Amino acid sequence: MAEDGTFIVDGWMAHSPGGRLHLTGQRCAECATYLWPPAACCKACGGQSLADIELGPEGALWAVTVDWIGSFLGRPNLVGQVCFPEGTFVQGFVVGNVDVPPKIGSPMELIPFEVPNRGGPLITYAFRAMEA
Amino acid sequence: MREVVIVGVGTTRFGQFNDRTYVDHGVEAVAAALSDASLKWTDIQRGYCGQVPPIGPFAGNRVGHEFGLTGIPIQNVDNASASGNAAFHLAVMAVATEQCDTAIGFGVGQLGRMLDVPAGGEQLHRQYMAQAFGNPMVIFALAAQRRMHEYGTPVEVFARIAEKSKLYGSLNPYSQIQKRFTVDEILSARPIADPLTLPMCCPVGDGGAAVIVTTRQVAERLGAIPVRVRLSEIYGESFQQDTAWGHAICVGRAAAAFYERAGIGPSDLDVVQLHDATANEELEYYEALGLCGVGEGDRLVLDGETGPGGRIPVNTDGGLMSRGHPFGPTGLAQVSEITRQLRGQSGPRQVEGAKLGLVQQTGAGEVFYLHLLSR
Repeated sequence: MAEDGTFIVDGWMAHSPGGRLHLTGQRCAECATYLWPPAACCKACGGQSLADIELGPEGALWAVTVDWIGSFLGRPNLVGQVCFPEGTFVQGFVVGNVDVPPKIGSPMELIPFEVPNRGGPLITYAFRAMEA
Repeated sequence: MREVVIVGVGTTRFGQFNDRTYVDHGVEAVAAALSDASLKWTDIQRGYCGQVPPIGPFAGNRVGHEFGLTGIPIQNVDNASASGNAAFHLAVMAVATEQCDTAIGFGVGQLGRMLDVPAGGEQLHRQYMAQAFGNPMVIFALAAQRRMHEYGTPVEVFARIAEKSKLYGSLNPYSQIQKRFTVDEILSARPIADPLTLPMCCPVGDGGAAVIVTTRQVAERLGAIPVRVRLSEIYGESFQQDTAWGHAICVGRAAAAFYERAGIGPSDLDVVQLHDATANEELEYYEALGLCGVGEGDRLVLDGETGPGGRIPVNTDGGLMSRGHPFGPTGLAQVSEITRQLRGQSGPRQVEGAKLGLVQQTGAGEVFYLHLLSR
């Protein structure tokens, strides 16, 4: 359970003791690859010895676009891919103005993000450009 | 393995047809392929049908029932965009390994219906929403943005690829989109996911396609123009550590292994069909397939080398962006177009003297098919 609602998928994200959001990733004991979302086996080597790790809350923007269809939010929105220092790429919503998306390479942070749902809103993560 | 020859191809016009079912599309395509091969349904010994949910189950059997319950075993296969390629590959393997002498790969699709139904249930829907996996063009748009950042590719390159696609589509009576577009019209069209506009993306549509394969001996008896399946292979996704979009790397690795096994190089090819869900995906695969060097795709496009009269024409029927992409039949339509090109039957879009053609298809980034056809 998120502090302000229900996480959209159990086990994919959590709040750190300091209150910032992080993703719940994994590190393979056999090949040291970092993974997200959580999986049964390592995608790189098939190893089954996976330890939970905190991924984020900060990374660099790999790519960003405007989704003009707005499939889930019902309005155009930014979507981006962020590379975390561990080398893991994660796609998600990006908070910001669709007319002025953040630049590739920008430092980004994870924040909670509410998405609509039939049974009440759910909390996922989003990326937000950090202040310079 | 035994030599395999294509003796019949059939495609419907792809598009949005509210008054037709996928069975109608399948029957039309199979009947066209049978007619092209001068064969009857009772001559077919194995059938493989490409389909994706929610149509079916047993979509291929429902099409087959319209021709008669003759005891032909039909397997239905789903490999996303590459479902038709899977059906073709299995039909080729059935003949090559002497399971039978004559087999059909066919495919049906009603993509519009698929998009109306959430796939995978509530939990998978939540996982997609968490990651903003809604608009299917977003993943390609992100790759395009990264390409523009790394190589300085101007958006006009993507527009030129779409312009070429629409030109070929206008020359193909089976193409879903038959209207030509200028570069300016493409750039100013409805945005889908920046930098991609509507004409740079494959349309939503329905349709059917079929390909019949057999032995050299049967083909000679039928008097068919022989188009040989030199090689048909499937490759799987491998983990990519250094990029968020690894499809092109996987295609590149698959192509290198495929060319080596086939004993050819990309410069030997006369015509290519490849997976162009979007204009920038086509650009990436030019380089992955070795049609040009890495980073040289922009120049290839701006020089018009993949269009009419170019060094290596690509997607001469309009490709996914214009001919259409109903998933199930798409790969069979690709094989049909290369077959027609090698037979010299492609009319105004004919590549003169084409003798060697390649089909490439990606299935959701999970599987990669390559088929090599020759005269």
